[in-house]
Amino acid sequence: MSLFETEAIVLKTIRLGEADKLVTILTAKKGKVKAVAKGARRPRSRFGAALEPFTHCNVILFDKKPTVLMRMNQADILHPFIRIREDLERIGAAARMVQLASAILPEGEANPKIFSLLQAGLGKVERNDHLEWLVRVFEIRCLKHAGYQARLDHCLICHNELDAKPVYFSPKNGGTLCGSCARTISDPLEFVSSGTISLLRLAARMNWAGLFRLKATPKMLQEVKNVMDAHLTYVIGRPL
Amino acid sequence: MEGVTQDILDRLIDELKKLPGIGRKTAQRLAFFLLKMSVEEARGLAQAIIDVKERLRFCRWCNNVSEEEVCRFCADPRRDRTRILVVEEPITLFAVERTGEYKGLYHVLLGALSPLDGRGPSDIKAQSLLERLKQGETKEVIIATNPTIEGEATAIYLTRLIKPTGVKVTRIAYGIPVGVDLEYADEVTLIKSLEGRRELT
Repeated sequence: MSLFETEAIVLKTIRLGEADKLVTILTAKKGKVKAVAKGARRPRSRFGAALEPFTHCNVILFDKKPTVLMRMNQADILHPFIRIREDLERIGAAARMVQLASAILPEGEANPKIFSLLQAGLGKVERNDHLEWLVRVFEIRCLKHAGYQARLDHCLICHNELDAKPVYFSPKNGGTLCGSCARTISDPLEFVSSGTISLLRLAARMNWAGLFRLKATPKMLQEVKNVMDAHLTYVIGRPL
Repeated sequence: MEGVTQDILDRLIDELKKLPGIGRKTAQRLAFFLLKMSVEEARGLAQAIIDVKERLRFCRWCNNVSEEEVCRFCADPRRDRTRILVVEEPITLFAVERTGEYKGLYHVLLGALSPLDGRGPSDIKAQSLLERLKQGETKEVIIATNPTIEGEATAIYLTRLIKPTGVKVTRIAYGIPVGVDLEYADEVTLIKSLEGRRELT
């Protein structure tokens, strides 16, 4: 039985009972948790707008016992990311980020790196216009911090350096295969050009400012999207 | 005989448990209360439930629940036909109607867009709203979806859809509920109420 305070980002809320909300939040201290906010749907609720998706807030949670849902006692907004709500494309980008974080993290396991990544990512969605690239970078880093970083340095079967072309990405192996090894396996593969490989590598480690200066062609962005969609679908076990 | 009475009562309890917020204990209490009711009262309740399911449908114009093909608001010649107030669910319509201040027509979307749950434009009654606007009577569409992320997404989508028709689109105000202390208002609500402030005359 304990009462604890933590920073959190709201991932999702669903209506519960007469006027309550069941809120899924990513907390800094205990990772993804679900908590009941009593009366949160009433106009004069003390939670106000703090439980809207994407909100970064400070919450006080009451953890009665492991078998019972946590109760949320208080939520104060730290940053509401209010501009996201004014644009459909921004809402879509932010929704993809919280969906991925929610799908990839198990409940009750703290992951400070993904917490900061999500916080930074939502901040960028609010102000930056390169939404597609932004979402891709988020996906690549989220997989990395969850322990599923793609291995892109050599062929995962013959361990040789990747020669110029052609190179394939194997979602099942979680990395690249050279052309000749790719022919030996029957799993679905994505073709990737060498430019896309470098883009994928940079996205995992470069700082945000540098990433937005990169000039990626629409074709490369499409390849990155294909690779990430396939990889995410494999890791999560369903299309996101 | 014992077994039969038990079965009937159990069935009633099981049916009552399907209602939101009703658990086993409450269902039992309700079942025994119903047992004490007069036959007429019980029949009245049962008939009311059946009527709601069998005789109510959605209005062909606004999707409000209605006994007739066209609901009483759409059929009422005294209502202002130049305004349409858009809501997510019929229950919101009743809340607005309780105020007695709004005299125009309604449109019920029967849902809201939700990027987080993958509910898209085809899951709400937006096209039929557009069809209504083509009749040419409407001058203003008032969007009264919930001030939640779903409601906002829906409002933005509808605005994009309606703007090309030239009809004026307005959104209900965001702000502080009447009768509370401002110091307890959250930041988002305060920002929105500042943005939506108006000049006093």
